[in-house]
Amino acid sequence: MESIPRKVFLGFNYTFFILISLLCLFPLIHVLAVSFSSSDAVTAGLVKFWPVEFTTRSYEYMLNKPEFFQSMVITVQRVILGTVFGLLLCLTIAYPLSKEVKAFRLRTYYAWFFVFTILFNGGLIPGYMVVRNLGLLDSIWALILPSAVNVFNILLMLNFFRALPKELEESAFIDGAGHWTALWRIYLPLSLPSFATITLFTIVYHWNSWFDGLIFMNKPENYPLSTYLQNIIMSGNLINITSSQSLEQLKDISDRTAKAAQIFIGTLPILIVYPFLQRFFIHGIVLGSVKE
Amino acid sequence: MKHRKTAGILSFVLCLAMILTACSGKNDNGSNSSNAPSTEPNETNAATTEKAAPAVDPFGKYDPPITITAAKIVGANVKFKEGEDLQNNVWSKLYADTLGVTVDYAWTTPDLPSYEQKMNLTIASGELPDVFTVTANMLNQLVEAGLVEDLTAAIDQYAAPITKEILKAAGKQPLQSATFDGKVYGFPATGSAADIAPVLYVRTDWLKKLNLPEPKTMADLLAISDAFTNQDPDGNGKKDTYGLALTKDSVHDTNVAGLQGFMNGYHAYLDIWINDASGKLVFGGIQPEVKQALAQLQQMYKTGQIDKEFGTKDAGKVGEDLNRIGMQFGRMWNPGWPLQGQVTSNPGMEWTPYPIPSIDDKPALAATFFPVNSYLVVRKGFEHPELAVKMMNLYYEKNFGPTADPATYNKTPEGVETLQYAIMMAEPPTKNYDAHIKVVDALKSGDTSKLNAEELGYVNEIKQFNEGDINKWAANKIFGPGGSQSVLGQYITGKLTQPDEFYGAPTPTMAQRKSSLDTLMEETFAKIIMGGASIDEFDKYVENWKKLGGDAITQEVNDWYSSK
Repeated sequence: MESIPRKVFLGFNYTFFILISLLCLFPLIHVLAVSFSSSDAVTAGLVKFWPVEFTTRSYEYMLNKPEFFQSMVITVQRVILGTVFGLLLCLTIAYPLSKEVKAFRLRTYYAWFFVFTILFNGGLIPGYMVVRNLGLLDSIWALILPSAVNVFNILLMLNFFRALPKELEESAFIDGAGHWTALWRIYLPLSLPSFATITLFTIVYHWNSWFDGLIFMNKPENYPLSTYLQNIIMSGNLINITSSQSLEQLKDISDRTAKAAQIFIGTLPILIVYPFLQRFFIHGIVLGSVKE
Repeated sequence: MKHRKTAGILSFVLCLAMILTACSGKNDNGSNSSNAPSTEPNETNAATTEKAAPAVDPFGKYDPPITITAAKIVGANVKFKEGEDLQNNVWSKLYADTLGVTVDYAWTTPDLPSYEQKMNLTIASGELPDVFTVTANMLNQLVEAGLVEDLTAAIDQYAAPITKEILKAAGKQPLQSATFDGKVYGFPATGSAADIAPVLYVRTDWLKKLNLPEPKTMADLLAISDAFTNQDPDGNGKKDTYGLALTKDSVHDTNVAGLQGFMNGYHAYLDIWINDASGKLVFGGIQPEVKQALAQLQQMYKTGQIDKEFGTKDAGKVGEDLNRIGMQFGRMWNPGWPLQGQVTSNPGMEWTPYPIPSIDDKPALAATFFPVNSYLVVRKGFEHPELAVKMMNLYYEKNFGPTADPATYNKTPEGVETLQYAIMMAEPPTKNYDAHIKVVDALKSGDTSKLNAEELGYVNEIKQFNEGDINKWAANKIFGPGGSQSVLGQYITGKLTQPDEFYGAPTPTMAQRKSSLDTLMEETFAKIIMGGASIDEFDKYVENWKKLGGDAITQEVNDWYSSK
């Protein structure tokens, strides 16, 4: 039996965390409710967490919007390519850097070289020029290559590798494994939790980032989904209304329902991916593999 | 072991070498881009002036046809007909058929902030498009950097009659705002100043219910505000209504529930430059009249006539609250949004636009901003600077000229806004007001033969509204009899506007300090209205404003004023 103070603590604890999760959940539910409500009800502020004057009009409208799916395809491509590239580079950089100076003489210099890029970067315009001069504008690689090496992820992975018992690697070497085998057969399987975390970070990063799409893509049809969504939401911004715009466009501003529908569909895939990856956060235990 | 070490060093050196070459590569390009535009222009400039002399046809065709690159803002709400896109539509065909020009959009962005960013990148990379649109600020920078072509001769020689007429109607300011050292560097997108003027919207169903007079003076308005707050106009027995709507952005944002209209009633003008008694330009936002109006607002906030939480609500949120607020100062298009949604959802609700009431016997002047916010410019060194003028000729001609065909080139009967495909949109200064006059006439006489497609659309919507379609309420409230355009008409015919007397590009100090001065103003006003500071805080604000760059800006603005 648990003591009373413990029960009180648990009670508060649960209430507190339920409240916090509700805070995260409510905006999403609100967006969902808005997407299923009529436009007028939304403008009149009647919609809270349940659709008012239920309609699927905004979803029908979306189905007729090729731009949305076009950008969705680009984002999916980007996420897949970007994650594969990002993780591959992350692993192959983190592994050697996790070794001691004894095994890898210039480790410190390389480590500093990578850390340096966290502290200083070329800035927007030089970055743009590099991408432009490499002829990557309007190509999917402009969204993948510049952000392929994420030093933060590398540091994360590197520290995880270091925390693994050295004896595992030594035993593998004794059995005749090389570095590649050690990395793929020993380190990677044992680092699944951090690997899953990094995978999730990378996927979410690629799914969410919109600014590079705006800068590196000259044609709107090459925009990834988040850039596209950012645009339709910003174009409904009052700041952009000038006198020469007409009633037709005002209707678009009040079209919060259509925007809500697109936002919701846009977040859906990432919501689905989350629980699947979360599974790995709990697994990946090294306990019992080494007896000292 | 030794072998491994050398390999390590080698690969490290290789890395460094790669970085260095990358850097030096960048430098090369950087110098190329800054050199390229500055060396060419002289010869080409001379060439064009020679070439321009013989054939002067405002709609002349290029033979052989030319292809140009361009850039513009294409909002996410721009719709295309089936199978059409930005490079293939009625306007691109018109440019190709009439002028022999294929417009190839090098890039487009959906809104102004991203456009400015992209433009900065393009300038840095030295690949400016041939013809593109810019804001006043960008025009200023481009002219200073010598990256855009002088259009003075092109406008003089190539402007079509309709173009000349519209430029004349717009007054001399638009062209003057694009003039640097006597040379015009950009074709201004003419627009309506009156359309930006604040209009007072009042819940007239509440007025009737409480037997109140229409707001003719500021005293009326204050009495109405008090009654709307305390006499339970919505009849639900609760004190949940407010007299006047404000948003957290009210000070600078005049779109919905702005402060500007209220200030104008006190002969105070926020955010614009006005003439003082001695003929000098002074900033409206620091004049003593503002203090008087702020004191009144503070009073209204204290007595619950303004939502206690307005400081956290943006225009969209306040738009949702307009079923509980009885008055707001907004723009002429407010019936379309946010009022239409409210009216559809709340049967019996009625809003009516009124001119700004005045605090004394002097009529109130509605503050207007300089209506030109974009310019069409031509890259320095481009062989056909007159093309910008020709494209604008076509635009004006096909929308407003003798051979106008608005159903094709402005807005199709299906409601597709084809004018958005043109290189730059512009309009005669009183386009909407003229439409209002014609719409009201047509409704009276039943003769719709003189209307263009846009005006006919309004007439049809107003007819549908009269037959009971509440969803067409907005068209009636904007263009119909007694609509917001008729209020603007009173401003125009009565000369009841106070234009911004400064319409040059932002001065150097403005570019540096304006945003912090704006924030200072916003924060002080909010604090005063919400009672967090006494009204005398205003005097301190004026001092601070002057100290923090205001005096320097005033000096620069007056230098500009005397030089023009």
